[in-house]
Amino acid sequence: MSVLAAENLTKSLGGREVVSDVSFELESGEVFGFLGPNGAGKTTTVRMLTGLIRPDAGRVSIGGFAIARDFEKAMRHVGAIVEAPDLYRELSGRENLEIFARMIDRRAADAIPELARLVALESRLDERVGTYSLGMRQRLGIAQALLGEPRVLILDEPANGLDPAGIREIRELVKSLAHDRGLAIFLSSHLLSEVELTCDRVAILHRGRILALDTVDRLLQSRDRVRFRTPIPKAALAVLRRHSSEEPEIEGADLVFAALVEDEIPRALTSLSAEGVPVFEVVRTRPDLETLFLELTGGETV
Amino acid sequence: MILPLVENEMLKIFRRKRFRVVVLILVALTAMIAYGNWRSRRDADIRRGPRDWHAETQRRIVEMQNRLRSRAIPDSYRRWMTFETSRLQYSLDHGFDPNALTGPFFSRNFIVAASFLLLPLLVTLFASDLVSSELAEGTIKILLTRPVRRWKVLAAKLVALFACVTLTVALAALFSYLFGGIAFGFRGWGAPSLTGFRSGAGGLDVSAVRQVPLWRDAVRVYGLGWYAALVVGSISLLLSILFRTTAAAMGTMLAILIAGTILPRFATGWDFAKYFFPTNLPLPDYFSGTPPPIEGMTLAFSVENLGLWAVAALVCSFLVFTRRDVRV
Repeated sequence: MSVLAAENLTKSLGGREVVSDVSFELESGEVFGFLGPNGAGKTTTVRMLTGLIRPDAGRVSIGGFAIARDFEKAMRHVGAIVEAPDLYRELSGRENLEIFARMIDRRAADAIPELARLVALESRLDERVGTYSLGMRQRLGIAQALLGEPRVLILDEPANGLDPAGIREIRELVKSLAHDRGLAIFLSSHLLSEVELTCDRVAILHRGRILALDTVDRLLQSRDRVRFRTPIPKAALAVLRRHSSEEPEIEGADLVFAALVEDEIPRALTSLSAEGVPVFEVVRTRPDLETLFLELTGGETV
Repeated sequence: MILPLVENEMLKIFRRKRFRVVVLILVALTAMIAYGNWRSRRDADIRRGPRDWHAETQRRIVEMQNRLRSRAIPDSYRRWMTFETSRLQYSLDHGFDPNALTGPFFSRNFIVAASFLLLPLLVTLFASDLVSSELAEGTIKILLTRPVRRWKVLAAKLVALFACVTLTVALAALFSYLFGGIAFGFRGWGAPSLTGFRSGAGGLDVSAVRQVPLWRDAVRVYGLGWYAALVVGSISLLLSILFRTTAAAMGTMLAILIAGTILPRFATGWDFAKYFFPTNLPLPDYFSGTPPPIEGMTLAFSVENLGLWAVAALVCSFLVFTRRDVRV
């Protein structure tokens, strides 16, 4: 059973539909990427997932509880950072964690030392949050989100404003939380490389709608191309047309690209040699997520 | 289950500088006013020799009666002087020094004077950022994504606010007694105090005036000042929810409070001003012998009016806070 399910979420803000019919599910132990350009509706979706705004239609359930009906039971299983990790700047890191622990239950504060160690903030925990760097606040935000042993972690643009080392740190932490501790992690981002490196599954959001939703591997696989180098590309094109799921393309003087599944490659080679087309080189190419994204959104960059 | 939440809110209030500023203002003001009173008393003694309160009161009554004969004084001032002469005359007739000054008297008088503007301003200072600061700093996004229903979060804020209002009034009483005591002596809680002045047709009605020990009078004055401060706190809380910045919430409340002190003076004929809540804030004035802000207003009317404003503000606060989309 999924730990978090969003069903047909729709929301209009200021007369414009910013999220349209968005549905997905999260399983334990996976990192789910929510990828889209700024303004695609990511933050609005995150706010609906966390109960900050009410969807016009659709519902969100967490751990089997609908947040509209059983808010407390549903939110008991969630930790979230929405946009920036905004904490009480005049309080210390420890006091911030204590405040949010008190909002969960009496035992939640017991985990504070362990969480501080996990996000490497032990030594600065008693200093005012106002003196923290953005990276430290981001880590404190994650510690805050992990209070009460949630089953789902919702991170909205966690890489925002971090330097490459900080981004890497967060990425490793997120992966280990999902893969070693079995949390389901929802991660929204506009950074393709980030999502590609961190996430197991990804939904691509554009203008409030999900255009594609699958594992990163399979999304990219569907765009796999096999490149043939041959002195007579036109003849090769005619042969490959019979095997390729999409119209093959000629590129340059001697290259032909065809969309072939793995099993089809030896058959295509047999046909080519039967027709007397010499093949010097066969290479399987995989596009990056960026190319895929450009194709899906019709050229709009992230 | 709401107690840990109240603890959180108290921690947030105490850790902000605002509440410390309120305490500092109270210390500075009470000390300054006590010192000022003490100096002017001393200067008068040096000029005229030891004070003879009989003669002094008599002189003030005659002065005011002379000025009342002149036509060139505004209505509101004429009304106040009519009241004041009756009050002084009554005190004189019954052997009470109307300007007796001891630490306890000073403390009571301070709250009477503070309840219509100073206490409301101080309460506004820390009440108007209760929610707006969470909106401005973005902390509301964590606060409302925890497994606690929104109405409980707001209820905890309200309880913490009322606790801090209570503390503020208590500190005002304490500091005014402390500095008043240093200047004029700490004893005298049992001294007789006149209370029960009412406004009657055309002047002050002294038929119900009686003497009570000062401590009883003081308890009533503190209580009414506290009630008025709670009402101001509730309305500030609503503004703090409606506005996204503390500056806007506080500015609006200050404007309303100051308008409230000006309005009755310029709109004596405008009866509707009595439904405006700041007009009703000076509750202790009703039985200490000052005319009501607008003719026909009574203590019961003002207490009810303030109560309705507070309840309406709280209902709106809860409705807006529990329903609003958080988009900051």
